[in-house]
Amino acid sequence: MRIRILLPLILLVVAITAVVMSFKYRFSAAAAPMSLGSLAAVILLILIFKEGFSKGEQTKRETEASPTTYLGYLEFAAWAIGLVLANLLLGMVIAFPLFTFVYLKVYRESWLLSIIMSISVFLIFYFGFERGLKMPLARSMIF
Amino acid sequence: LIEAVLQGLAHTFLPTSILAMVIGIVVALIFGIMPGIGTVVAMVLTLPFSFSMDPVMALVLMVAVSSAGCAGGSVTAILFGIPGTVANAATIIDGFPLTKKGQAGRAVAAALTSSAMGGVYGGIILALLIPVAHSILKSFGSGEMFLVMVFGLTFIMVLAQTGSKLKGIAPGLIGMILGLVGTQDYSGMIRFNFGTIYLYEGLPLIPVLLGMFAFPELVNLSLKRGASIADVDKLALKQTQFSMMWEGIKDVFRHWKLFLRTSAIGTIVGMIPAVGQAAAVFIAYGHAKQTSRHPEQFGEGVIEGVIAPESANNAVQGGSMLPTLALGLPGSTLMAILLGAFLIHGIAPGPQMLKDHLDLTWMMISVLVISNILAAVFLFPLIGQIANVAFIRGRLLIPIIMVIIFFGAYAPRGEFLDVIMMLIFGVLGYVMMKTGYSRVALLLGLILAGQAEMYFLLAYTAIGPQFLIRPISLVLIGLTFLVLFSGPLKGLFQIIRKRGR
Repeated sequence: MRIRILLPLILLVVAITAVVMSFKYRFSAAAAPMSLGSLAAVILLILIFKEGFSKGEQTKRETEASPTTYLGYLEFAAWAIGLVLANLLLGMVIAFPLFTFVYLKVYRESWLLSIIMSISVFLIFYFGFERGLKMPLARSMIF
Repeated sequence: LIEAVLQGLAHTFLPTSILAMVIGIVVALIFGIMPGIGTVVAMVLTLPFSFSMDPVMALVLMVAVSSAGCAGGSVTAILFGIPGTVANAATIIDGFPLTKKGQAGRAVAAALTSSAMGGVYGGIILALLIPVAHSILKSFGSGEMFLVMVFGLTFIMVLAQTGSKLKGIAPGLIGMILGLVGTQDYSGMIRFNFGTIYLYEGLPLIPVLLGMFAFPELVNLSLKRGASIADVDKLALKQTQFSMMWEGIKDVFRHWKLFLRTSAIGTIVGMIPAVGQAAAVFIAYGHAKQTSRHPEQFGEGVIEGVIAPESANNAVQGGSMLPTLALGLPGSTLMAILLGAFLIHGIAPGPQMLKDHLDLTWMMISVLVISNILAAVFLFPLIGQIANVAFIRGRLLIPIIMVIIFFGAYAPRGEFLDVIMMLIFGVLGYVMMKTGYSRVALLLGLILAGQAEMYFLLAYTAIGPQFLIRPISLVLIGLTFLVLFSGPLKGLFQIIRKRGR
């Protein structure tokens, strides 16, 4: 499905959900979401209709995203998901420097630079934030 | 009043405040120099770290970051023709040709001087208006406050949006719905939490901010496949000798009338919610060209073309801080984030703040003025070196920015779900950016919805719908309709004018 229709469609679902859920609240709590949701739903329907029929502009914009760009999105998503999983499994103290090191090595940075940057990340986050500023980092789920 | 001013100054000159100010300025300058990253991202990334600070230090830090970013952005705008921030967009038109002419040092010095002085100008105007704003705002009740918020949101949703206005209104409304998630202040009722405790306090502001603004820039940087942020010739860096810089400083004083006029434009435009720096700099540039004796030379490298937008973009800060402090209505994205910082530290900007925390208000005005001066002072000796940041390979920056964003989302509440929330809003923010939907409207809707609803319910419970027919209310309703129908009205006037001819 085209992204320019998909976004207003998702927002439309949010608006309708707000209206439907508001029925179970008392008036003072339901008035705002119900009125805002209804208004948003109408506007989003107009937008979906407009986006669906603006074929010329649509074709031009959609050709802008090349296969390389999609590959770039996938690559970035993989790194982001990888960092989430690493945080959960290893904890931020290990995940952050490890992620920095792996990222730099995958893109062929030198061993020295990768190690220096990873150690810097560890020192800043562990000693700077967790120890110094008493801002706890996420703990590991496995140890 | 004098006591509050003195207390404010005392807060400003505390050692911890000075430290926070210096850190804020350095962070803002670094991020301001990085094109595409900019002051907004600097603010968003700084916000979580301010969480554990005491309110005075945190506010000093945030105001310093918001004030100093433009100065950094002017360096890359002039040296490489790439604006560090949106506010430096107009500086390129004459700044970059000046670099090509070998006058980069002069242009950068003129930009930094006019930025610093513009910021001071905006701060002074803000200081003069704060006492008046206080007395005017006494006549604002809950009903009027609600209508001010509706007006501001309408302004943001309609006028700040280029292209289809519906792409500003729809996200604004969705943002308001999202802002109603969690416990309702008025009744204590919990809404839209889907049975989870996580959403009891509503959507977490910092992860949403990080997702909407920082994440999309990171995706863009990643898509550049290892290229540095700036990919232009390093030769421009060599044109920053001291003699040329001194000439640039003198240029601002030679064109002092232009400086005063364009700073005034910046301050006034800043007071209008959501119009902000981008509009102010182009209006100021247009004014400089219109009033110049040699308008035909604009675009080919004239120093007035640098002084005008750079004076305006920093003067905007003082102007936009007025509605933020006096009404709790942010005049720009930066101010919206600043408003978030206020709320996180339990300070609600608005009439009550001018009454209860007047010392903090004066502290922020003084920080605004001092930060603008210090930013220029810091940059002068470092122009050449700092600009090198723009040449760091993207591959080196991405992992660092990514771990900062992840930590920034997690740290304020120590809740890992906030990281997931940041990623969800990151994807939403990126898609919105690509498809032309207003992210600012969604953010402001989210921030203001809860307060607007509470003001409405308070006014309605107290006096019923009659609050809508009070004089101030009627003016605000009129203004809101004027904004809503500005497009059709403009078209109508053009038709009438054409027929008249």
